[in-house]
Amino acid sequence: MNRRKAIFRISLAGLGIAAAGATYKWWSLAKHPDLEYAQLNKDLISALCETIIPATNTPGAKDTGTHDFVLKMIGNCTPRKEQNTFIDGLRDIQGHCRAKYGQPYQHCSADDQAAALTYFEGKGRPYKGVVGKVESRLLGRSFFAILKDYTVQGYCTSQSGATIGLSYIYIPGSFRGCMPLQPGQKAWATN
Amino acid sequence: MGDPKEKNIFDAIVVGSGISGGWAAKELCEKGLKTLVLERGRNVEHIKDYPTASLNPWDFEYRLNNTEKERSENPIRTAYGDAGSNIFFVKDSEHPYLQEKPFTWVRGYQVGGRSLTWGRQCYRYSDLDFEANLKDGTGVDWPIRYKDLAPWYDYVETYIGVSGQKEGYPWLPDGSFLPPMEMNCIEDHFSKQVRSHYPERIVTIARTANLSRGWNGRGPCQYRNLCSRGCPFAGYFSSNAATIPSAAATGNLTLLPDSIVIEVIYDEQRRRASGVRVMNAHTRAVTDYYARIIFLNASTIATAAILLNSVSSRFPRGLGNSSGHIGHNLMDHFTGTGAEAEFDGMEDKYYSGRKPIGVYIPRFRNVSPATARKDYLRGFGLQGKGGRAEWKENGARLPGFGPQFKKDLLRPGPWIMWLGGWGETLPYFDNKITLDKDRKDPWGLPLVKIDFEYHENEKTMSKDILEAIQEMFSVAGFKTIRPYSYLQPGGTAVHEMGTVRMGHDPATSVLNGNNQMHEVKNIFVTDGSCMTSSGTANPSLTYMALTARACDFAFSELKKGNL
Repeated sequence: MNRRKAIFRISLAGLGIAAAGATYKWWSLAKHPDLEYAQLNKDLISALCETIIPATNTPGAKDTGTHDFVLKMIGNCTPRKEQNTFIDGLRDIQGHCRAKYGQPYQHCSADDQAAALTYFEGKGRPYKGVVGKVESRLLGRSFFAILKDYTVQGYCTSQSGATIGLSYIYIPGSFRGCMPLQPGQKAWATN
Repeated sequence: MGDPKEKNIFDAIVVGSGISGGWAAKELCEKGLKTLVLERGRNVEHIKDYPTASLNPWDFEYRLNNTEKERSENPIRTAYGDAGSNIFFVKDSEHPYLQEKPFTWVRGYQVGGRSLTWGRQCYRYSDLDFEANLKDGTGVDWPIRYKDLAPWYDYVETYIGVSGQKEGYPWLPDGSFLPPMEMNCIEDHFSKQVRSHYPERIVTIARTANLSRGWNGRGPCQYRNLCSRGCPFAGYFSSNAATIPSAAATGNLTLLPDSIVIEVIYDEQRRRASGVRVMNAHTRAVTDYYARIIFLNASTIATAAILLNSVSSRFPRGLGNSSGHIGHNLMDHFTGTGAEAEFDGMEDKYYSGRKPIGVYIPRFRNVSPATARKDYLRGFGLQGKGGRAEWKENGARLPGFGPQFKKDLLRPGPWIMWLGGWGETLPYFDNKITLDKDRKDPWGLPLVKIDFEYHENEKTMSKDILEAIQEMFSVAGFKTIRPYSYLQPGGTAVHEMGTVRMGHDPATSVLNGNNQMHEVKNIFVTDGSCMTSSGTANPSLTYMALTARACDFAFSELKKGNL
């Protein structure tokens, strides 16, 4: 049972019995976030972003500087709970890789990186239905969900992500509502 | 230079420069009246003061996300604006008001007001709306009917430029339209399916003040869909792009930004308003300005607040308020009910350009015996927009990561469409704004207190909206339908209206059928506060038509020597 789920169960049960655990939980999400840790681990974040959107025949997350955007978002556009979840997640995935592969995430092979991230994606998956909704309202999103959201945003709104990964027309000048999709046509970067 | 008061005397004063104030300014100036327009916010000059209008997504530090600090300090502004448009919404923290119950008061204090950020939807009201109060015995009867306003709708549409499709639908009168914008594939599919399944309903392309071709030296729309940053192409109607330049071109306009109207000054002898008392927003200096006629266009809540603050021995409860109705009968359209649905198919089709609008389904409930509802009065309009899932939706929808995820993320996903209700809200006397004399704003003026809630009629209607939307999606062959329904706080539609209503009887209304105050004949109120019922359509076009009509009436009364 991972910490996120454990914490959630404690906070559900916490209506009296597990008050101590719940207190720890609120502290762990309400504490002052260690933003410096995130800044010092830019290489890790960059590698994580690249695993999510790798360079293929179009630029990847690293080429578009997506890690800088992720850091900005974590620093200034993220509620404190999720800041802590994200920073704790960086520590967790680094610990996981060191224990399992003997080296930090950014030095692991692409296969090991994918395996590690798959593991964290599973850990972060919310419960289904109402319980999941309550869970995400109380705890915010999981480490993986935050990382993926910011990576996608950062990539798709960057200049090369928008103009090479996607299609961007600065000033369309006209609108056509229904036309054939060209083979291999990319989606529009803005709507 | 003679009496220093001389320079403070005008033929007409207009309070507010938003969508209706801009119209009053244009009409009065074009009739030859020396007109003073007072705007409490800063000046915003067309094009020059649209600093974000031409920026790309990557030009913004946080790519259009609001920071947590900005969100916590300004929860309302950040719910409506982003880094591109925040400059046209006031900071909540600088403009406090009291919420007896949660009420979202969205404000744009600047020259042009909210005409810079409005939704640009232009629908005429019909006699279904103007006769509604009389027929079901709610509130008071409108003192006008569609025929009174129809020529003024023509007049206003012809100037601003409204693109749309004529439909011949009885409850959504056609207007003078520029060519309609195209629906995209899914909107067109949905429209055809709904029309064939429900012969009495239509799904029409939104009627919008976006210019589908060049018009009166403005536009055409460039299909950037960045309207609320201000448009350097003047592709949509705003006071800044259109009415204020027209007014200025006459040489009769004096525009004073940063000028907060404290109160209207009442002359007990002449039984007329003589002018307005104004505070400079920065220096706090107070100056009186005088005119023969005064148009109040400060927006629904602010206009009522000015009148309530204009106390004299003749009018101890506020100027022209013997009825006790000023500030009451506040309405908005209720939103928050709708659904999003996915469609399988047409995967080989796409669109090009960024259409700034969607589709509109005018009211189809309680319009005939066959559509009568036993459980609620009135009805709702639906607005929607379709498109293919793009990165925002794909990123949320697709599991996993890596090369395959990237490939699917960057290509057009399934067609999706969204539909939401704009429900008519009845005029309830208890939904009101008042002034709290004990609590002051930063300028020492009493704080506005808003006390508003929806009642059973709205709550019952919202259930029907939800059912109607899901049924239409289902009929049109959509597969995954995700409904949502939560009654949002009042004000959320930014269609607040009704606090200085029109009516026949001075005992139960404030304005007559010409938007003239029953009790103070040289005051005209033509912003949303004049509305006697809310109808279901977006109201700005009606405010503009009422303004042009009232200006015509006021000018003829002036000429006759009645004012």
